[in-house]
Amino acid sequence: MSKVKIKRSLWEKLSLIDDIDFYPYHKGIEISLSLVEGKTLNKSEEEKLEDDLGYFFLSNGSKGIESFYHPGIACIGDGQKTASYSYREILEEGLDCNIGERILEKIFPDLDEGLKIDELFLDCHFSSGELDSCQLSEYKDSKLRPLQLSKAILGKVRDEIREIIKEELGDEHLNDTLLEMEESSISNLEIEGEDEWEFEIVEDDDWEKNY
Amino acid sequence: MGEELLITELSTNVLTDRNEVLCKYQEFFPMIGSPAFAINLKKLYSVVEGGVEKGLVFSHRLIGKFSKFGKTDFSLLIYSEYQMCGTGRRVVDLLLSQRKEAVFIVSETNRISLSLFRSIASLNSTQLGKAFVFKN
Repeated sequence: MSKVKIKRSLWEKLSLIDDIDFYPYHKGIEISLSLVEGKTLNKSEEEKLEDDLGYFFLSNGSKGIESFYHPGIACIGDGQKTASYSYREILEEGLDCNIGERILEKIFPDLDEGLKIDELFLDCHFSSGELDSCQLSEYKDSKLRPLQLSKAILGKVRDEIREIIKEELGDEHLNDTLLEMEESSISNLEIEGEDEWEFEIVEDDDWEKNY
Repeated sequence: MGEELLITELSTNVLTDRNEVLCKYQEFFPMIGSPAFAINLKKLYSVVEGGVEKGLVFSHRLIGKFSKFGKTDFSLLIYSEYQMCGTGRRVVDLLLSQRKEAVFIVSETNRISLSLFRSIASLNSTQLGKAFVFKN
């Protein structure tokens, strides 16, 4: 649970909102809103609300609350006293090992004869400890040919990714890691996190002076 | 012949020392001082022209939805007293001549930078949300 400061006029508008998608990056913050059913805002009201939410996010981030460092979705709780924030910590340099090479070496003995390991490329999506999708392709004679994978081989891919995550990130991250691979290289690696924000209301005048 | 332009790497600790100076530029760099700015900062360069420091270049790693455009984004901060004198254009030309891949992300509200990057024929632009991504 993190105590987060919010100016009163913004807090009062949270009753209009179901959830807010925050996407901070080094040059700004992108915000998109889902309004409560039946509520509407005109363009200028929406822009003002997005500006206020941007300052709210950056202000709390600058005070060292870790969940405000990362992109995520805040779902506003009943009575606007709290919000649950599901965020994604995007890892910087991937994993230390060459994950594509390691998985291919593991499954290669089970593949059809005649294939060459350096002509194989793996695309996959792994989340919540499971393999959501996986495609192995052979690139030969300037053509990409998808290969059929048995359930047993898919199971081996999943188990190897699980092992790698346990070794590199720790057992505790097995079920909260999202890993995407394209052409045997990591294209996205995120650890999912959760925080509960408890709003502490600051009067608008004080906010303008101090935040 | 123009004055010599140099881009020299600085320690990123310099940002803390120059925090007061940098705060002046928050209109164009609203994220200066924010965690997202610091976490993703890879390198910092000083822009020196004719022996005078005229600005800074930030290099940030690209994350999430921006990562499909490349690994690194360059941001130019030319100090206000040296703006509108062509230094920014010369810095971009120098970066483009030194690198095979260069990405420049510009907020849609930053009209001065948008017009600079739109004038460079070798850059292609793509709009992503409230930002434009320029890439060679």
